[in-house]
Amino acid sequence: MHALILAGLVGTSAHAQDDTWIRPLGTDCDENGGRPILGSAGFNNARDALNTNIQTYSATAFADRTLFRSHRHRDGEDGGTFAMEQNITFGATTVPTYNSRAIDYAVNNDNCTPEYRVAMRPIDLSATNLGVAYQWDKVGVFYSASVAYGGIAYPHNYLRGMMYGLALPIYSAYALMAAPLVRSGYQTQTGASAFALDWIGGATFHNEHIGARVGYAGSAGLYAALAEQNTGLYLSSVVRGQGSLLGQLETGLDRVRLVPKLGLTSAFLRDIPYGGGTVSDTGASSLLAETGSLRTVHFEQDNVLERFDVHVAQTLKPVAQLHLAQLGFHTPNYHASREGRTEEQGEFRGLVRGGIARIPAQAAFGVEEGSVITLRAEGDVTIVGDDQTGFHMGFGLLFNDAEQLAMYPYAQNVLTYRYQMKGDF
Amino acid sequence: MSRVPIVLSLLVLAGCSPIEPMPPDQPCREAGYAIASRTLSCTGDAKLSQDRYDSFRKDFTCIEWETTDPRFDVDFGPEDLFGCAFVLSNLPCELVDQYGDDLDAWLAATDSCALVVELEGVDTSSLIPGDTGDTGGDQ
Repeated sequence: MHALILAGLVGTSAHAQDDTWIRPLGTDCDENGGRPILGSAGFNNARDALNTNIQTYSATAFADRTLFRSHRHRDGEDGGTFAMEQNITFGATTVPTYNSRAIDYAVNNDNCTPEYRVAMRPIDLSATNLGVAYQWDKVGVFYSASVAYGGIAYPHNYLRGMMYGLALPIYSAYALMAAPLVRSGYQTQTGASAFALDWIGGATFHNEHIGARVGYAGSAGLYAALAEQNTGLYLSSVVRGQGSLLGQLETGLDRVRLVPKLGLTSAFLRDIPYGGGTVSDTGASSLLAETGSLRTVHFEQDNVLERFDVHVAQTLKPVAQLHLAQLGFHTPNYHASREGRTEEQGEFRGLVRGGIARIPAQAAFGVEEGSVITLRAEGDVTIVGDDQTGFHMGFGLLFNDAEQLAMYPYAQNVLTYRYQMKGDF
Repeated sequence: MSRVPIVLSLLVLAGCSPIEPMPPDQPCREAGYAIASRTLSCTGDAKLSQDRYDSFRKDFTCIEWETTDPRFDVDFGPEDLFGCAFVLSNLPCELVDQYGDDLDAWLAATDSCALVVELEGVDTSSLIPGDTGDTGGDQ
């Protein structure tokens, strides 16, 4: 609580008293974002990044990734899982923006100097998810909601921090609570900012051979997923109406024990709509229209000798490129198998994974050739845990990680932090 | 728990500025990016897209503009230098096919390209209010 008050005081004082160390001279430029310049690669990338953020952290994707992948099937026993997660991404891409307050500089003595009339500004993204699943013997129900937002960053870092650290989680909590009331979901976009609210509800069935889920998403889509329990083969897809932002296809192997010493092997292919469309096609304020697909293939070998991971990810479309190979080190058996794991109260699990990613020249996205350092650090604490119940809190910090570069192929120095609360009951 | 996002936000954001003046050659490079982007969209050929951008950078000289250039006023500013990229990024695929590797043809699609790329025989005086007829900006 003290940190909240301190952050508020620092922010308010800085804004009122022109502290140049936190608020550099001349940079009070269009604090709500400025106007993105149409036709620039950054503008197209921004529209794509907004789309990708909504796709990746949609209610459906969250349920697939977090709710079901960690859900422990306990034959003959009733039980459930709930999870809440927030992902904040800073600098998914950079957009040339027109800042009108620079023109007023001479007349109104605004603190926005002419050198910032056109300035490069990053795109920040956020996504908040909430989900719950419960099962009775072989059948169950699930519900998941998502709220995703993105836009041009504030011109001062303390404002970015307050927005994404304080205000947005509160706004998102209200939005998530309202999600079921918005029967068809809600999506809106203007310029280089977008907001989407969605939910999905459905039923599950599983036995010793298969796991199946069917559901309906608020944004007018049917959802279906099928997994073979023994081999780990799975396929999930969302079929949406034309013009919707949301849709996905993912298929592959999920955490298979091919060689016990080598831990868990996952290999999957993911395909999501890609591209912001041209302005003439959609209009600057209309919803994004995908022009193709972003297809990535992933190979992940986790818990090698209980402590190591090897990950390789490659983009196949729209531009084939090797993203990276990463080596990770973590506490023993950091990654849970499909059967789940036994938890102990107070147990800490941590992971550090790093590598170098080669970024090929991609002029179509305004990207010049280069290399970037990648880093991923995660931690997870079991607050309460035994064989049947558990409550975890997890944190993650990602910098140019494979996950980010696969989502935002035009990113140069992209930073994401996430926190998650998850429980089994 | 509630402090973590705030502390992390402040820490990780402390070292990078979220607003930087436009690099002087940005409008020119955007024209090249637009050629690459439309080529990729219309042909699906990533290599051809990159090759056309590389040719653009090799065969043409960019005109650089500082955002504090004295010719900028209320009616004409650095934002107007992106007109070339805007037009090129919206070219119909029929024209993309027609122009092909002829980058002179691409850049002739609009006079505004002469504001950011050195092109012979294009008078930009009508695009810059108060300009005496000299082509381009600072080199």
